[in-house]
Amino acid sequence: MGITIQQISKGFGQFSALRDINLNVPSGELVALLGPSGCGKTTLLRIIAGLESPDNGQVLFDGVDTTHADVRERQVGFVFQHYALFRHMTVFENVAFGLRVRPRETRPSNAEIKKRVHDLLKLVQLDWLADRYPPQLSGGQRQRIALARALAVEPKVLLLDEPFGALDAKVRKDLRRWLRRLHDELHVTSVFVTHDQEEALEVADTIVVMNHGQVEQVGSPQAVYDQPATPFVYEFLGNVNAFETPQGKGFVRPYEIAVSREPGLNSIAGALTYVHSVGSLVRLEIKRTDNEQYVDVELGREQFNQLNFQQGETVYLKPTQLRVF
Amino acid sequence: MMHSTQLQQYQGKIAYKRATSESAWVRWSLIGLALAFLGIFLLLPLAAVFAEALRKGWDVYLAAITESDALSAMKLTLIASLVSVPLNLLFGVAAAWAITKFDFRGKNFLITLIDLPFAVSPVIAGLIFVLIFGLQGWFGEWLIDHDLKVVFAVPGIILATIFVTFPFVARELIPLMQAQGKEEEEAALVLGASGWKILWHVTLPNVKWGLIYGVILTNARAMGEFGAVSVVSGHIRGMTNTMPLHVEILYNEYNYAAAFAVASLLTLLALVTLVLKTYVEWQAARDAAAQEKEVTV
Repeated sequence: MGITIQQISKGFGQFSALRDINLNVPSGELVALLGPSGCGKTTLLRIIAGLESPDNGQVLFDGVDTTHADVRERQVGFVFQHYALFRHMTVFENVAFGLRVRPRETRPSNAEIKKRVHDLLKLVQLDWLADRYPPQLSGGQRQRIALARALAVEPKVLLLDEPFGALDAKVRKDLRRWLRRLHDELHVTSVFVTHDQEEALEVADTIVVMNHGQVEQVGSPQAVYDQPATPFVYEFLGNVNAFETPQGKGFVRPYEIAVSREPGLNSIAGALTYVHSVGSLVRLEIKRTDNEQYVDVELGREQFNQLNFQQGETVYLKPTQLRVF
Repeated sequence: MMHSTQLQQYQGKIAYKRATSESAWVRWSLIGLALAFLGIFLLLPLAAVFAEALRKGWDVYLAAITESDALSAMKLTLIASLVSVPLNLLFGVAAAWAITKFDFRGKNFLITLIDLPFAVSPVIAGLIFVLIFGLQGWFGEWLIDHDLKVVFAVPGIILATIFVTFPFVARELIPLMQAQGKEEEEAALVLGASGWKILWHVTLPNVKWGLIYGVILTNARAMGEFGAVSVVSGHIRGMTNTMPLHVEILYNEYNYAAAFAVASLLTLLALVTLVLKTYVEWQAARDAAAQEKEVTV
């Protein structure tokens, strides 16, 4: 099911959380709402779910105005940042909840519920935890149960609020891949909120970069990373160096800078203050001679070894790509 | 060398003397003082109630608590608490649910209002009902015209009891439900549960122990309330006397043995309440600890 957001605005008292948001989520896509905390991404997600109502604008599900539809009628699955599992119910009952609370006419039989729940638990690979209680599970397990619970009602849209926010780095990475695979399997339209650019870049089909309640850019991970539309997107996605140029502020990624010992036309002189060489990339910290600002440069290890720069040495920088706003 | 040995000795001394400990003399006199205080103000009166109650023997005791006025006082106390406890359970849950799970205008005012019975002297609480429902009160004439009696009758006693015990359940639940947040309710909502189903299957099971605790406190207060009930009761023996009022009447008539006999029943109730309360707290702490422990796994 496709989701269309039209001119959505929402304020909390004096604070304007969302300003005139327009967005289109095509059916079957996995979309990331990416932005710093307080940018309104969670509010937007909650408006799509119906947990919050917008001050202005419309939410359309497959072209049908759903703005004022009750949460229960929207058939969305929602995964909360802190899981929100029912703590006094077993894992099985948690996943079964959405089926059990249906009115009698549409409620599946006990046998069907049992089968459906076990299928879902298999899908999230936690079949063996059916009789445990949520507090007895690890964070990653809880998040997967929360996902199984959301999927139990066969939602047309899956909404995830910082799904991996509360997990440690390793589990996060595993779950990320797992979510991607799951989505490829199920093809349910999914929107997830994150403040982690790496997560968005790795998992999403489309990234919506948000800041101060507004959409800065919408595009594929490649597009938003390689062709940032605004200075904010440049700075938020990945490391970047900012230069003052006569035309305005220029942005250069650390790997888009050539370093040499010889001065060239328009090159910038600086002192190599620090070399950080762990992993395949070597990061150089260079202090500009003219304005004493720091510039980050990334070189491949081989290239660095060839050039063999020493700390303290004077080097000359030249951006190979510069984007001016 | 010499220097380092001294240092070691010195460090040894520091390790043995804890920063928080005092000399034995100070410790024991403080503990003694605390125990004496507890003994005089809590244990002695407790023992005195039972000693006085049984001073003239078991037969007098039994006669005092099976006498018809005493029985009717017990009956009235039971009725008052049987009516007020379920009602306040209902009000308390509704108020806590509204305050903690929804946002609306005037929320803080509502919280203050719930605390009103704690802030007002029980005697004033009683007087309020006399002013409203009494003969010269706002609804006095209307009530007489319809042959209804509130003040100096059972309804007045129930009303006063409800008023003074109103905050207990809500006060117990609000912090608990606030700490638990709204996420589980929202999750249930998205999964399609109706309001009733959310309350019944999600919210209430999560506050089970707090709820029971609130009911125990409400009941203890409902049965023991004196001030407010005293004003609206009219002290009609065998008719509008609750147990605390009956104790007062017996005492004023110098019938000490009987007064203490009835009082001992109220005291027993208090002890049962304490045991239940401790049990509930222990259970709740155990549940919390179990969750806490498993979180770290």
